[in-house]
Amino acid sequence: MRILVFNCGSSSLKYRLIELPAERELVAGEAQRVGPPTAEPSRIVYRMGGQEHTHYAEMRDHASALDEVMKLLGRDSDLVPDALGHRVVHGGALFHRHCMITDEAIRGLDTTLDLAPIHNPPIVKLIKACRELYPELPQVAIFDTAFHATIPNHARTYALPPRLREDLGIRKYGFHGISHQYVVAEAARFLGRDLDTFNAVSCHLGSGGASLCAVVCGQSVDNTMGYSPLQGLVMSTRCGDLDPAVALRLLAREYGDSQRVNKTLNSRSGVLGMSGVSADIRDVLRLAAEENSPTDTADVTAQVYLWRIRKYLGAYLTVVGSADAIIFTDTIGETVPAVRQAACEGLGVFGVNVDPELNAAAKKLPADVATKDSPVRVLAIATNEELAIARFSHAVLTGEVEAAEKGGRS
Amino acid sequence: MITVVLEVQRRALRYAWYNGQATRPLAAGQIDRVAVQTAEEATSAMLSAVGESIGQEQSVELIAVRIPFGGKLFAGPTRVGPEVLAKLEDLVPHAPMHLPATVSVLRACLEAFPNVPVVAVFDTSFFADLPNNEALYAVDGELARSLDLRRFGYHGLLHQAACASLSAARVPESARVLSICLEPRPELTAVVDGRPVMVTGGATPLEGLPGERLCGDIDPGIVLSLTQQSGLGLEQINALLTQESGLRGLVGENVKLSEVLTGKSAESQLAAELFKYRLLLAAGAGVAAMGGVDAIVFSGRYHACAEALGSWLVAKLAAACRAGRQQPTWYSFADPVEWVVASQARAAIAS
Repeated sequence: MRILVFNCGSSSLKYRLIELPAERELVAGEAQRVGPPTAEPSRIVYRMGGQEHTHYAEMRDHASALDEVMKLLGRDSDLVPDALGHRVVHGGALFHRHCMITDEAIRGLDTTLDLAPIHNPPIVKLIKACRELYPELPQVAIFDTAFHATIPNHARTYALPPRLREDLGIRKYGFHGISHQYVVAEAARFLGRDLDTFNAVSCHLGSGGASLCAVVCGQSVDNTMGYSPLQGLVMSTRCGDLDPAVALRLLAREYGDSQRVNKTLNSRSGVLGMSGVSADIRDVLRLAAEENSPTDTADVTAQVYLWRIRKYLGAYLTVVGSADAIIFTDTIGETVPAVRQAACEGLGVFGVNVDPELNAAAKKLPADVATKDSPVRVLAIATNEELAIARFSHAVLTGEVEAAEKGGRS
Repeated sequence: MITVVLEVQRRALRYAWYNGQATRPLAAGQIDRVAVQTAEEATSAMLSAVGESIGQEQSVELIAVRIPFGGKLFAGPTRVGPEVLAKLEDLVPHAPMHLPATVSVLRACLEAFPNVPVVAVFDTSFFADLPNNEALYAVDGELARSLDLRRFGYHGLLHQAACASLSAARVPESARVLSICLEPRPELTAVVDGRPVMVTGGATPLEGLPGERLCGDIDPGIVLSLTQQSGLGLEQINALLTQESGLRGLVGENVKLSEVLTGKSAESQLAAELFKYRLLLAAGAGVAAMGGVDAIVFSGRYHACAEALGSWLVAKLAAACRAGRQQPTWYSFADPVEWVVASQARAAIAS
């Protein structure tokens, strides 16, 4: 079965055509500059059979981008998809599992638009266009929030009055679920463990967003992101945890203009805001290593970034009780040994011991970088959200929804 | 030889006075500020109450004033004079509810008792040297400096008193301590060698564990969302988060922390589970911050809840801490904050 995976951004449409269950990638591409005309022409850049291609076409919206992608694939009968798998960032309180897109699902998706006003509207538009243009193709929605549907009530509830919790849907939803679900299953398999009894803390440390996920028996029981992706760790441009009174103070300074404060906290804070030089923690770590004064901005930024991860690791290791592994994934988690090393510092009391040499040398993933006798394994696992979407879609299509929910292939 | 302890609250001036080193106050009470209008009037009402009560033969030796926020400026109890008053006025933006009235009370005390030392004792002093990795928020550096943004703890006096009681109980000074203050605004701090390295309180007491009426940690995105979706103004949102949230928001009525932990209703049980869960997360973060834990100490007006929480927390931490053969021990102490304020002020004058 060939599954076409869509990852829809506000002005881009990434896609992969993957053959299942062989998990063979046939085409990978991205429609760029989708929307009103910009300084550069809109185009589709794609890789097929080891070669890069660029296809120029006018794409005023995601529906026309879809049309162009399907036309490109349609040139070769071996590349015609059998089903579509969509990444949906926010499933709201309604979608507890990945699901087939039906009329009912569409009605449900329409209710999530307010919760994710940036991310969900283009995705839902694309899904509707797919149904209209290719009604015969089955479509599956894979949610970033679905893995977190198992977070218990006491962990997902905020201590707020009922009218906020009930009327405005304010609760923890959690994000990065597709990645966490995927790497947790990969980690269990790598360690030869049964997912149903596998306990872990998964650290998705991206070059942009980042979150930790506490996992008990293969299921998410907490995530550092909350109602929105703003809560939790220090991220490239997001502040993460912040005293709510400070948010109010910033709003008062801007005369209640929440758009401006939103921009301050989402786009100008985090590593970029603190360091003043770069949104990329790798640059900051490099600068911090060059200069040795502990008051240096770069050093302080790195310390705050790492300390927040370490504190949450302690919190989640305590919640999980007896973790089998800590998993590091995504750009920073996979490629920056210094972050893994520093984040795990002082966690020996929890049975977490990183082997500095193994850790520094880990290039080929998956890798176990813990010392031989460390009770908790420390793993670097490559995430692959597109493959995860294809895998979970396949499971939904073939009726293995339960397995898909837990991220397993078998 | 009388030590008078004062504290300005939202609607009242609380007072207690102690004779010599006595641990129990001779008397304590409060002057309703709504009834008497100004802080000066409240102070003189209180002082005449003190005068009547202690009689002519006793003299006021020391006035100790508890102040919730001293920023980085005040790292310990400080004798009050004109310079200190000026510095406190600079800090008003950080604690606009408390500081103006407190400064008035201090002035009134200096005028009424020109020969008696007046000592300001700060809740934040214990946290004035909190390490940068814990104290700083990940926001724009310029913005943080212009607002003087920094994390503090707000029950430093009780944490210090609890740690002192641990020493008296022969826990070594070098112990790694989780200090849990069970007050209407609960707070956990992790203390190594007598110094805090992690605390749940934030730039204000709103951050951290949920309180009886405070929301505690929430996604800052919620605050932004409320301004867009709820139709509420900033003052209303502030009131909602500081007065109608926390355990009250979960249970639906004003409720004490101690009642919630033994409550039977579904709402109470959710509130208790949520509170314990958040305490567990904070404890785990504290253990990570210290690289281990040797003792857990409960204090504050609900310190008796340690009966319900102490063994539970020790068992949870023991399950997660596989390297340690020794489990932490938990303690519970009852020092009232007024007594802590009085003894700190006395120590400051004596030194």
